[in-house]
Amino acid sequence: MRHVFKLVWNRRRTNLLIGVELFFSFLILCAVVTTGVYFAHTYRLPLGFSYAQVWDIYINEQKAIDKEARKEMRTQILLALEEFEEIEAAAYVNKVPFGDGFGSRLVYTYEGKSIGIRPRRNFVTDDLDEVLNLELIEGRWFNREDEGIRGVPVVINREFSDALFGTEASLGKEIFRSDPVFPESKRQGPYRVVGVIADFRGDDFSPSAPFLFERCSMNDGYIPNHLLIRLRPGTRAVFGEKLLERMQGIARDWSFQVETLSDHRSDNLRLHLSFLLFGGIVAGLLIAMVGLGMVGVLWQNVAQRTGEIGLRRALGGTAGRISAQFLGELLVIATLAVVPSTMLIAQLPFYGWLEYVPGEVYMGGIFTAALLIYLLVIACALYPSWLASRVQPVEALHCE
Amino acid sequence: MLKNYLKIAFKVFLRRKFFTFISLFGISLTLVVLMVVASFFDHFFGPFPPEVKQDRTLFVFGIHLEYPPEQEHMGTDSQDLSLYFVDHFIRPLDHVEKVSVREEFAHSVTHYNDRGDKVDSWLKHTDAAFWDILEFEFLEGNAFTEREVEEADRVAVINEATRRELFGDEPAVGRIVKVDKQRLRVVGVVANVPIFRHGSFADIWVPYSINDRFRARPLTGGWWDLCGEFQAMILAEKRSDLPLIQEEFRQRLSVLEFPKEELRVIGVHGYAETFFEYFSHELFDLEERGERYPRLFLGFIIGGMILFMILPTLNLVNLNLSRIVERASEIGVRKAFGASSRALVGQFVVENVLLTLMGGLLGLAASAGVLRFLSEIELVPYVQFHMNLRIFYYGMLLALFFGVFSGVYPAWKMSRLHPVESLRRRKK
Repeated sequence: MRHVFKLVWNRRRTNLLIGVELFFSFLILCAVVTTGVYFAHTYRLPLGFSYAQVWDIYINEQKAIDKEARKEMRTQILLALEEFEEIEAAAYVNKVPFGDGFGSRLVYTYEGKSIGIRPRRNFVTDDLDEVLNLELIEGRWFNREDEGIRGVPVVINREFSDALFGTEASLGKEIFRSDPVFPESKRQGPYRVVGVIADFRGDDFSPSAPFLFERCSMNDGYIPNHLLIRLRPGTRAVFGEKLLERMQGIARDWSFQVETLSDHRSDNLRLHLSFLLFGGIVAGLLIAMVGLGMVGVLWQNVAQRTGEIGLRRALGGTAGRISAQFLGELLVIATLAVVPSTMLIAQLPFYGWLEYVPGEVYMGGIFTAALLIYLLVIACALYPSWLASRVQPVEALHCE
Repeated sequence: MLKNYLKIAFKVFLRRKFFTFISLFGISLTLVVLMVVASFFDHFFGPFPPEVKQDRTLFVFGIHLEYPPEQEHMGTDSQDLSLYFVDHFIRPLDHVEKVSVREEFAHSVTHYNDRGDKVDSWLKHTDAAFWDILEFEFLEGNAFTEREVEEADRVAVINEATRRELFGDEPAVGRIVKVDKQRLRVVGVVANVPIFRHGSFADIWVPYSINDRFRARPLTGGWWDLCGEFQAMILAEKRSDLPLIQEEFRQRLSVLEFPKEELRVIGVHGYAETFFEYFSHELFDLEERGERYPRLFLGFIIGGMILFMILPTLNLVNLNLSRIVERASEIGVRKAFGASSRALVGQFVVENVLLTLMGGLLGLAASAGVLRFLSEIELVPYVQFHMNLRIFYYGMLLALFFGVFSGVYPAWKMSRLHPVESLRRRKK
């Protein structure tokens, strides 16, 4: 074993280059494999809501309009929807599932203590629980009765509750929030916890992380532009035309765009998969290139070291041991490349990156990538080391 | 001399086909990836129809209002432009040939065709000058005119894809589209514009005057008069006029302030910029403008490409190094007959460049195939990726760079071989 290290050291120049190549290959593999493992992991988690039969209507409103007039029209639209028996429930939401994601930089604190992870959030009006069939495990969803009471009502998920309140009951607690980018800005709040849901993940690839819904009152200065509606099962797509006409009757100069959450979901799936596919193809081809290059270099090595091999054969080394030696040398180089890059990659979580990626996913990704690198190295070494083992002592000694 | 080098190079390539294959594979693969990415960038920023006059086009995407620190709104606030603003601060600028207004990018609307199918279209409100600055390819009919815009005629220009969805592939001029509760008469049909063309992209283009929200408002005399629903596109007379226009526009705004209103504004900032400049500023999320950021963005792109090329380059260097031995005898002989190290380096670099150029050509052919495939699966709606001269040129440049870069170190090592030593090994 020691002499394998020595042999590697003796040819450090050439080996350094191979090592550096493997180092970069491993980094690339890690990135792609971890992403893949992460996607597979999150895809299997429950979404926490149901998206079938839900439409998303985006309202493109006139910007230069009086705030009161806008509020009035928004309220009227919501009222108008109640006339339709096809519609079960409707709510304005700031961000739509399967859309841009719910990330936020805001920090929420309870009695001066904050959660380690930035929670994700959404800003919504009443009745969203009915639209998305959210499952409440404690308390209730916010409603009109919350109007005017001190503290903006919020509904949080269990993870949020565990992170901020631990084992304490979360209902009725008051929390505050602040914006770390503008530390001088006012601390906002209080926010009053009125309910806890099991979980809410914005899309198939979102992590299971602290989440909170803030209540938007129709008296607020800003009302979100997405309108989510749940339709009675069996409602046909043509209903959209009727709906659009009604809304356009209320707001003549606004435009509306109707989409379904199922469409959003398939778009989102396609986006993630094509991203992964592109990364995978590029990484795969790069690695294939590195592999072929390595075969070439090793081949050349074997040719160069005929003398050394011949000597070993003459002194009684078996063909198998010689193959093993070549393979061993390469495995040593691979280890020397994998260890520092693993150390490098292991730093990332400490810098606050990848905070949503669970440790086991991350470890799994690195482990799989390392496994792949070793497989690659072994595959590349097979042919050249077989060649090496076939060197005849006579031929080798002849050349000296 | 060069001819001899090339002859030798070919002989070497043919002698070790496996190595040649590995090298070519690596080079062309790298180039394919870089080419596809470059093609994306090119389609995003480059001058493609209808934006063929892009090199002398500037945009004003909005203005930033600066509030005094004691006011509740912190920092600045971004607003689109009003017609008043365009008429008073953009149209009077010197060296400007034409100015067009349009709503911020385009917005998507849902409407239904005669059969009741749902159709989603991107709608853009604009004016007549839009059709002069941009060169659309009309399949039938014409653009709407200045008079039609003035009189708020309910007319529309649609693209080919919308025509198909609404009317099958039948002629559409004179027929009616119902969008946003309005019945619009189709006056023209244009070829599809890819979504990458931020300046021109839409499915349906209509005069801004048909919608109340885009009409001019009564003036109040305050800063609110400057804010509206528009972005402006400026066509300069000459390309060299762009900096002059940018400077003049900046100066016109720098004197503005509105200290007497309820909500005080102490400064109005706006920039006439090319799309690339705009994009780089947005990317870094900065309100401050300067030449630095577009350069920084360019630096990032180039840096990214170089990072991507590290692995293939290392691979090539490695391969070349390991082949020194193979060529030892040749080097020994040449040195013994008095060839300088420099001549040898030259020869090996030429060899390597030749190899990379061959790989480059292969790579270009492959990228053409990949791009065609990407266009066919409609990766990006309406985008027809194809190779053009610019991309070809970049590709060959990259290959050349690649060749020199990965050839120098091995060549230098080869040339340093001692003649005696290398001749001795020849006995092998």
